[in-house]
Amino acid sequence: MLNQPLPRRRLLKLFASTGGVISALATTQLASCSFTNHEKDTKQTVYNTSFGLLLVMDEQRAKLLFSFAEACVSNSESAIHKAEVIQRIDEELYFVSTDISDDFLLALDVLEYLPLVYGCFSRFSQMPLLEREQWLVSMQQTRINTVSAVISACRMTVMLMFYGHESTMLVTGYDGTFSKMPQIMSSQRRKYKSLTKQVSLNTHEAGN
Amino acid sequence: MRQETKMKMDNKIYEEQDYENGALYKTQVCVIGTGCGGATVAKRLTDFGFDVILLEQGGYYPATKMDQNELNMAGKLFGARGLATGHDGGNVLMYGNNVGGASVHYWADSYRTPSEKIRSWEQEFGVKGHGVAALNPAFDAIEKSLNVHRAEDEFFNPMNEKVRGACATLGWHGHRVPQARKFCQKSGHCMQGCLYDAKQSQIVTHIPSALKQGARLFSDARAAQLIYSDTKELARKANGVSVEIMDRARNRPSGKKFKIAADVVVLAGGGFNSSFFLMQQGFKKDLPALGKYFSMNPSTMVHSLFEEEIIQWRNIPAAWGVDEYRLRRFNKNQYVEGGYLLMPNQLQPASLAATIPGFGSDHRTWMDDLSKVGGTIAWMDDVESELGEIRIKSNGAREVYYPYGELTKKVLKDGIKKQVILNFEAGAKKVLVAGLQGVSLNTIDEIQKLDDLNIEAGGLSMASPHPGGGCRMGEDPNLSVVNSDHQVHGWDNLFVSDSSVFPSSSSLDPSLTIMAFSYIAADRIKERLSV
Repeated sequence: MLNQPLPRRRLLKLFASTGGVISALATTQLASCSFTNHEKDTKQTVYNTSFGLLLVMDEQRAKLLFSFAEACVSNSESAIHKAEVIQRIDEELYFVSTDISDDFLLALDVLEYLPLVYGCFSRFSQMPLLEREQWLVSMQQTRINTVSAVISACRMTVMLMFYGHESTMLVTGYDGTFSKMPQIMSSQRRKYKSLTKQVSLNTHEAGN
Repeated sequence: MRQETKMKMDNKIYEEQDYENGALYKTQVCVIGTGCGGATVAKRLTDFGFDVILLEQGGYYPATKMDQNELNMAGKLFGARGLATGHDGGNVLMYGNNVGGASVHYWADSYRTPSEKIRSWEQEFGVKGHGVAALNPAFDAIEKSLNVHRAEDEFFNPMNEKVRGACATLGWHGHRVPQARKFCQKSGHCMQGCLYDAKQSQIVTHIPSALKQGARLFSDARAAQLIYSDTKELARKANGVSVEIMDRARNRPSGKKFKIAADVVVLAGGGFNSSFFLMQQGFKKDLPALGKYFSMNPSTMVHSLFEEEIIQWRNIPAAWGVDEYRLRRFNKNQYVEGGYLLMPNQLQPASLAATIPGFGSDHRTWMDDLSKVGGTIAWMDDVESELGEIRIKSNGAREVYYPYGELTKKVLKDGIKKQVILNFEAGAKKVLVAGLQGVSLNTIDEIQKLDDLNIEAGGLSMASPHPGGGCRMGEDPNLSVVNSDHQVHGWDNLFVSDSSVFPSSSSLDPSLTIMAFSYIAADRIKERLSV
C-alpha cells in the first residue's frame, strides 16, 4: 500500500533538498551523452542497452521508461517490446532539438525520485508494477504544476508511441489507415535505423 | 559584382541535394516560410510579375511521400515532430515544418475574419487598410481558388451528426463549417496530409501557381541570418538572407550554406517562428513589442463514450461548428460564460490514447472501446489582456510563455462545461475531461465535479494550433512590430506576412485571414518595389 502524499510545505522542502541530487544526476547523464547545447553535433554516442542500440537514452533511463510504460498501458511486457516503445521514443528524441530532449530526460530523472519525495521507500523503477500504477493514479490529483507536467509529458509520449504502432490495432479495433498502403520511411527513420544497426523493416523504401 | 549561381534544373521544388555550398542566388523578393502566409504572398507577387524565392527549412512531402501513418507523418510534417509544448509543458504546440506549412496538416476550416475582430483591430489597435473593404475582395479570390464551400451532409461523420443534433435540442446556434476541399475521399487523415490532394493546402494551390509563374522554392533551407545595412535615411535595409542547408536525414544543419540577395525580404515563418527569428537577429532592443501580445487559441478537449460506433477517425474532422458561445458574455463586468468555438474532435488512435487520461486498466477500458469514443474540442479566443509572449532562452532556444490569467482560466473551464453538456445531450454514456486529473462524469448531474478542475499546466491536455501575434501590427513602434503596410518599424524593405502580425487572436481558424492579409501585404510590397 502506498503512502499518502506529504503535506505541501514538507514536500517542497524535501523536493528542494533532493533537487540538488536530481540536478547532479541529470547533469552527469547529459555530460556522458557528448551533446553540445542546442544543436546535437556529429559525434554520435551509441548506448548498448537491453533494448538494442539507442542514441539518446542509456540503459538506466531506458529501463526506467519501460517500467513507466508498463504502468501506463496495462499490457504485457511483450506487447510493449513488440510496439518498440523505447526505441521509437529514443528515435523521436534524437531528431528534436536538445532543448526538448533534455527536458524529457530531466523529466525521467525527476520521475524516478518523485515517489521518494512523496514518502515512498523506493525509486519509481524499483517499485512493483501494481504499486507503480497505484502511485501514478494517486498523482493524477496533484496540484503541483511541475509534478503534473512531468508525469503528463512522459505519459503522453508513451501512449503516442504504444498506440501508434501497428501491433496495437487489434487491441483498439482500429482498422488501420484508410489507404492500407505500406509505410513510407522518411530519410530520418532510415538514418536512425542505420545508426542503431537495426534490420530494415519490410517497408517501401522509396521517397524521403 | 558576384555572379549569381544558376540552378541545374528548373520548375521543381529544390531540396538539399540541389544546392551548391557557398552559392549566391538573386531575386527581387525573398519569402521566408511557405505556409498560408508565405505561399500566398509569393503567389500574389508572381501574379504582379516579380521574381520570388521562397525558403522553407522543412522538407518537401507531396502526396507521393505520404502514407497516412500517424507517427510517420508527424515526424515529416509537424514542427518539433509534435513534441513541443508551452513553457509549462501543458500545451502541445502545433505548427508545420514542411513545404506548405501547417496547411498540409490542418483541418481545412476556412473562416473569414469575424467582423468584431476586424473592428477591434481597426479601432483599438489602429490597424489601417485591413478593413472589410480591403479584405472582402481577397476573401472572394481565395475562396474561389481554394474551392471553399460549406460542408455537405455526406461529410458529417457520426460525431458531427450527434453534435448537430444536440445543438438542435439545446437550442445552441451552429453552422456548417466552410471547407477548402475538392473531391474529398473522407479518409479522416487530414492531420497526416492529404494523400489525394483533395484538401486545398498550399502545396496544391498557391505554391504551384507561384512556381508556374517563375517562383523558385528552396526546401531544406533554413534562414539563418538576415543580411542588412544601416542607411543614411536611418531606416535599415535588408539585403538578403544567409541560409543553412539542412541535412534532412539528420534533421540538423549540414554545415553547408548559401546566400540570397534580395531587394525585399518577407518573413512568413508563422506565429511561433517569425518573432523568434527577429529576436535571434538581435532586434529585440529596437522593437520592444517583439514577441509580445502572443495568442494561440488554447483548446481543451472532452472525450465521450457512446453505446454505438462513432469511428471518429474517418470522414472530415469538423463539418459542424457551434458558435453559440463564441463571444465572451459579461454581466456588470463579471464574466458569465462563452469565449470559444465548439467543434467535434477528430484524432487518430495514438493521439486519442495520448489525450485520454488515466493509467493502467482505467485507460485500457477506453482504448478497448475506441470505435465508440467521440468527443469535442473548444477553440478558446485568447483574452486580449492576458496574452502570452515568445521569448528567447539563455541557451538560444525558443520559449512560448503563456501563463493562464484569471479570466482565461474561467473561459477554459466554461468551455469544458459546455462540452460536457453537449456530449451528454448527444447521447454519451460517459464523459472524460482530457488532462492528467481525468475527471470523469457518468451523467450531466455530476457536472459540479468540474468546479474542482485544475486549470494548470498538465492538469489539462491542450493543443494550440493557431499562433498569432509576436510581430503585432500597429502604428506605435513601442507597442507593435510592423506598421499597417506589414513593414517592420525602422526598416525600409523588411515585411512580415503571417499570423504573427495579428494584434489579437483571430478567434477562429486563421488560415483565410492569413491569406487575405497576405494579399494586402503583396500590394504594399508591390508599391515598395515600384518606387
